[in-house]
Amino acid sequence: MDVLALLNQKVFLGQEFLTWLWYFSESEGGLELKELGFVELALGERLVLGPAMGAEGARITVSGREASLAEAREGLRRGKLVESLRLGLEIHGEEYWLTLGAAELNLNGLALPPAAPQEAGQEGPEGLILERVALIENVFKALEGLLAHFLVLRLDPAAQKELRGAMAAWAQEPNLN
Amino acid sequence: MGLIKGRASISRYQAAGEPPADFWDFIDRRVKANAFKDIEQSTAEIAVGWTSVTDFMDTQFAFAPYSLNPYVVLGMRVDQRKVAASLVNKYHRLEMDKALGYLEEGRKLGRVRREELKDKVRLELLARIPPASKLYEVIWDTSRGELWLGAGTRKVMDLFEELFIASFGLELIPRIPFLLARDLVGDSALAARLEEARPWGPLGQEA
Repeated sequence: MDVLALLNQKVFLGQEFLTWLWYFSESEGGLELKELGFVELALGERLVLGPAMGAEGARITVSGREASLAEAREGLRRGKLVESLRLGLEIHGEEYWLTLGAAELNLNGLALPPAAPQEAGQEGPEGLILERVALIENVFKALEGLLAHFLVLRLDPAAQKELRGAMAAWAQEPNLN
Repeated sequence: MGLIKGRASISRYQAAGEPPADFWDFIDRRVKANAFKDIEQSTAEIAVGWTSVTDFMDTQFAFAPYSLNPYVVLGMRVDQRKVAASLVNKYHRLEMDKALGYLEEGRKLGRVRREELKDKVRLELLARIPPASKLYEVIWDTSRGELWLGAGTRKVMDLFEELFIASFGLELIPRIPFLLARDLVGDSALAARLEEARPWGPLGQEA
């Protein structure tokens, strides 16, 4: 399997998914997922937009709590899509924060809820490792649930048309920040 | 930045290929065969190998600390010496001045000799500079063939992919969005549509 070729040919899928995550966090705020219950989404303090696949142009980076999203919204209107974003997930009442990249869906700066302190008499790091693994798995389950939801809409001709129209209208909205 | 504590960067992979039936014996043999080997007393610029995830000095793996069934939990230790270009230039200049002292006045050092002196200086500096150590955590869920590397830079990912393949002979496939999407749609009606999907293009324009 030529992963590099696939990465280059299908990079649009990651860009569209991340752009949808931004849209979805603002329009719906979250999603009910089978194993995790309702997962709430929040856009974090960093958003990077770049040219859509096949297009050329500069990146736009919006960061900081006070930063207006107007510039990012303008980037959308000029044909850019999200390359990376800081995303908050609330799962089972606990907050997770991560920076997600469109190309490989790698996670950076993943902040997990604190692990429970080890019980008295418990030796070795095994418990801590397993707890961290479970927390990280929550993140991947949430992202996979969100991607699966996006794919159902993205790959259905009628639903795709409706979604794309809704996202185009959202991109045209004046920014409220 | 780690999988086990603090903020994490994670690169996600799928291991492809059939691991042998005596899996845990195989892991034990291959981890030990590819354990980190110290370069403290050499001039090697980089060394990469496995250690215990909780102790980057542990390359003996007594009591199989990597085994947390179904997980294999390892540290990938990377030791690297870095010689600043300014240091090489300084000592290269000193060596060239010394070499010129042996020549008749007005003669210059040839290109080959200058390069030889630069290599000599670089090797001498490498021997004097201790390598810096970094540890990257690796968690391999053997029940699903999924791996997490606690790093997100291409350079570290390349080192990991090389070490993993050399150690275990299994292919590593990054979980890029399209491949993840393929797994998620499975053989449903969406599978063919996914293969045929074309970019949306810019929002705000008609599709």
